[in-house]
Amino acid sequence: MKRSDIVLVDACIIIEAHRVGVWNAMHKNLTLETVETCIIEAQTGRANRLDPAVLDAELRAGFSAVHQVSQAEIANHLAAAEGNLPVIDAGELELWVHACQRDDVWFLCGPDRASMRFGYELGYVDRLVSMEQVLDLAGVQNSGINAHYQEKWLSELKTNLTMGIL
Amino acid sequence: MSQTLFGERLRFLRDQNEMSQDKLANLLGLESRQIVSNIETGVRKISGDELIVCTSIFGVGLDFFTNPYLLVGQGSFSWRQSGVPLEELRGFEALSGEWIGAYRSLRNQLGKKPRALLSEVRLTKKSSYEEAVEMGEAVAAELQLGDVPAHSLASAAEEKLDAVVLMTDTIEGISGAACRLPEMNAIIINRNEPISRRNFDLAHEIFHILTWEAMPPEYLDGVDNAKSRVEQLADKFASGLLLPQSALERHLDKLQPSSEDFVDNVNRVATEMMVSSVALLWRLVDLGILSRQQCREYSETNWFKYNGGMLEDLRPALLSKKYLSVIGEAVEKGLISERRVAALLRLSFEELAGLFIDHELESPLGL
Repeated sequence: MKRSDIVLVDACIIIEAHRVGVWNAMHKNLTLETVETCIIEAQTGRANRLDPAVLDAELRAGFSAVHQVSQAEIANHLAAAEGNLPVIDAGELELWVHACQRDDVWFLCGPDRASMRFGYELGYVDRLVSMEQVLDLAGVQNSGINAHYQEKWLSELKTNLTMGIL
Repeated sequence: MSQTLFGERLRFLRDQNEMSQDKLANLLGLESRQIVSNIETGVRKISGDELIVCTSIFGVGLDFFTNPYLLVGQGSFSWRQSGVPLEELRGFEALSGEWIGAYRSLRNQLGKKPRALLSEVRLTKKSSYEEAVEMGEAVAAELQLGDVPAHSLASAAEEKLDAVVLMTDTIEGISGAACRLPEMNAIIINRNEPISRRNFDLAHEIFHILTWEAMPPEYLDGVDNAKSRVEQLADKFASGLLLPQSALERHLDKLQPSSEDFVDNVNRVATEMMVSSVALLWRLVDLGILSRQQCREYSETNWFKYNGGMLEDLRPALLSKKYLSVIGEAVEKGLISERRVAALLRLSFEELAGLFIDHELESPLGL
């Protein structure tokens, strides 16, 4: 993974980066992209959300691109998928639908087991990166991020998925 | 995503709209009705474009086809309610049905097999009220509910009757519901009702679960309206279940109308048994201790309101330990994302983490 590579981030990463105060350093040093629903979830989600003081325009300015994912794209993705994929929320799903349609180099950063498993089931285990790894790449000190955002957590998860333990 | 799921949902919509396979094939631009048949049985994959056209034809969202937790055409509900507009009831049914569907789906994915033998009691519409009371007492004994059956009724229903009992914040007017699925039962209880009401509702719904095949309950079980025979039998069963004679024996000398402090004693015993004083009064009628006339007269006084003020109430935690443990395990295994759980249960991460603590479970949340 190189600094110039595209990193797709979900709502939880956006919220955690703001919580520990690394958002500006993160987006200034890397090429971050996301989908519209993750922006909405970060700002209005019931599960957790950003401080309302974070302005929409400023948040969007931190991304190289915020992609719209259509219902047709989601339908095509799910209709083509085989097996029982994990059930993930709207933002996480749209991020994966968008990612799967890209033919350039990208990595996806998310802290949720089911979302990571979703990518693993689709054959993208090598595209999964932790927030800690992303911050290291950006040259940002990562003190204070929660366990699910650390490399150790993702590494163990990948091992467990690969070994069929999870 | 399972092609069988798409097919089942499509067939449900087509049947509901009384549309032929020929007509649907035509609308989808397919060559023959056989292709529709193949999609419905999962033999042929449906394309994304066809899915989108179907959402338009039937006026549903894409979620209708892709959300595996929806109980499309599968769950039978009986709602214990009073004056709730049908549209609002249907809305709450969709929400609670998704909770039940998620539990069923995740439980299956976790390899927790439903019990092969489901419990049933031998009562019919022709059974007498006395038989219903006796059956309630017998069930209390078989479930080993002890001297205060209400105390362990919910856990017994979950562990021994293979039901899931969901304590919920329902919309106003709903006391509870019984839900029957082919492979499991669920009971919904309004956790904001007084404890005595919750226990009576739970016992009433257990009756429906145990007699569903012989006496399918009405969709609307009106609390205020004239009760059907089945509902009256359910109330009698609940009375026997919560107040079995064996458990009341030790109190009977204090519950004679001629006894000193009769009113106070009724309130004390009812509170100890976790039922309303009025329910206890009617049970005394069944036991021949009180006449119907006396019971009606007592019921019209204020002496027994909130069991004479003795009824202490602690609102139970949302849902149940059994339910939350399946959700927690599914999160641990990466079968459902944490954000999706929060959205499903309409809770924040903080509320969700608190719920696991309330049920003395380790929180699987990490976000």
